[in-house]
Amino acid sequence: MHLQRLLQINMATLAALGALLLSMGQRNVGLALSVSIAAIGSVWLTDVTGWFRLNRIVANVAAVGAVLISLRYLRFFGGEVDILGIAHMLVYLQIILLFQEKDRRIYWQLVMLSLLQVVVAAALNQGVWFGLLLVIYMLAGLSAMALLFLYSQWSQHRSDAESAAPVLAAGSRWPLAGQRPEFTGTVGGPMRVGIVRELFGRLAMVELGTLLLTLLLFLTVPRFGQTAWRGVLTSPKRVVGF
Amino acid sequence: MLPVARQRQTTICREGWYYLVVLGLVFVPAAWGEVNLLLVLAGMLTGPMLFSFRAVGVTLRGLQVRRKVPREVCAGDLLVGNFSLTNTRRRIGSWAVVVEEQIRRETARGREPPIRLGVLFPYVPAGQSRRGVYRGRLVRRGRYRLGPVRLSTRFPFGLFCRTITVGQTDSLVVFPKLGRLTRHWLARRQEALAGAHRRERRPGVEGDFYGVREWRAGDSRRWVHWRTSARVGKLAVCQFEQPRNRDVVVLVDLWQPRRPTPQHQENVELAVSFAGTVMSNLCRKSGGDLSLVTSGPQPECLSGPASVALLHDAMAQLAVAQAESEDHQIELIERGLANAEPGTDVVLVSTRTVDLGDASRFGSLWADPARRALLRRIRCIDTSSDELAQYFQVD
Repeated sequence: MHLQRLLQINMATLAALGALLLSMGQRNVGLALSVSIAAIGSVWLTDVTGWFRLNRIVANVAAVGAVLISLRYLRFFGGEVDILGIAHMLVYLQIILLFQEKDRRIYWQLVMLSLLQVVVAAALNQGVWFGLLLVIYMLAGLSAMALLFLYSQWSQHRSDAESAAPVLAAGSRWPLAGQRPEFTGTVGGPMRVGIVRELFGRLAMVELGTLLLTLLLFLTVPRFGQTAWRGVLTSPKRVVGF
Repeated sequence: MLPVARQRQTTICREGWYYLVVLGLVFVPAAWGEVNLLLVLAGMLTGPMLFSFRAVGVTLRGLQVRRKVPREVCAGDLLVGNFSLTNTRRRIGSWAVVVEEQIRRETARGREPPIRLGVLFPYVPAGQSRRGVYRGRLVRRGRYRLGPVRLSTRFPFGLFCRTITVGQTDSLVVFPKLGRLTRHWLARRQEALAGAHRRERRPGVEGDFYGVREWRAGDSRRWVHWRTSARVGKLAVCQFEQPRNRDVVVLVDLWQPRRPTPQHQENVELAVSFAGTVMSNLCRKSGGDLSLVTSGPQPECLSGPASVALLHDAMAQLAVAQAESEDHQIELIERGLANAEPGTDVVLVSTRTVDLGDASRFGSLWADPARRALLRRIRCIDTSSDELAQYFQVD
């Protein structure tokens, strides 16, 4: 499949998963549903057909509006509920980004917003299902990062190749006067080059290694706020209530 | 095939630093606040960092690169080079490998800042080769140094960059840009050749005998070939081949002030380009001996029979010819006329107006009768003047 299309689908999945994790923390199904619909819709309407694309100005105005609405919520609720306002803001911004024509910058912003959503969700949630979904999120996130990197490299060298056009000096007797040497390297193949089974095999290895490392870190990182474990009998007893 | 690796280096990229900051922002609150899920998330963010450090090293292992680039090219012409990247491993492919090279112009004052170019190889499967092409234009003549080649990758996440420097440097000569001689120039040269020929041969005969044809109105009676006329019963005249094999000396005076303006630099380039074009024209169409003398404290002289080999050497000499602020015009002319035979056509291409009739300036040349005769025959082309456009055009 075409690298860009694969990246678009992967990013939409990542956005939907991030929102799902966030909605689990908030117990708000509507949030996950709206982002999922927006993600699927953006792939079709914005990325595949290009029927609906927010231009830069409209997107910026919408983003400012989203921040203002979220601020209003923050002021209204106050205290612990503030984080919910931030979560809403992240979702609004994500939807705005999804409906823009995507380049490297937009993709990176989507990744960062999604990660922020998961960080907020992790602070709100303690369930096991959340942990399992987090693993799926990691798989989608790593493949998105790898695809985004390949796309960035491809588009960077592609744009270099397209920008090379010799400009002839006007009004000069020597045609090379004022010109600078220009060189462009072509990209060795179309955009789908390299999207092979072996790539996903390599990514799977990295993901497996990451899971093992996560487990190791989880088990070995000290918890500074807890006392050392001294067995069942010697463990401190806490008495609450009467 | 370029030799084995000389230098290896792994650095963290800008994206890698950003990633580390994000990782720190997740990990520290997670460990401090004992939020288990945040700790899991921090672990998941640590994995890509560590594995990508290893992956960049693995990606470049077993790669061999071969460079193919022309040795000479004219300034402003398209230069096409290519790299062939071979993955010698049996099982593991390489993604997103960038082969970079630098091209640096060498001058008498040292080296100029290099031009960097890169070719991206999105994927090189195990045991296979891929070819990448780069193209561009070098706009200044001279000798350039290519290489060494750098292989780099940031696969898989762009967090680390691994670079390997391979191979040795190579050289490339950029010849002067060639233009076009106008009909005016060619006609003038033809006139000069015919004039010289007339001076050397008996009057009325235009060159070497070529054949016989029927008499036409205007033909000289001296050309009538009486024996053929008697045989065919009509007047027949001799045909003569136009003389082409004349010795030519091209003198190139590259003067510019100590602080040259762009206009002065243009004049220098025009002079070199014009001299190169004249040499090219003579080497392809003429049969005599040619000499090229370029100015300098010790004027550089190149001479030999007109040929492609001589043209190549002449272009190489013009490629590295440098303008100077000191006046070496007299040495140049003396050197050019030193071995010139009588009747040699001498062209002086200069970046300034030259008055060869100035006996005070060229007193040493005027004192010698043989040189004086040659001096009178020198054709001066001043590239700072608009007159050049009559003889030469460069697009």
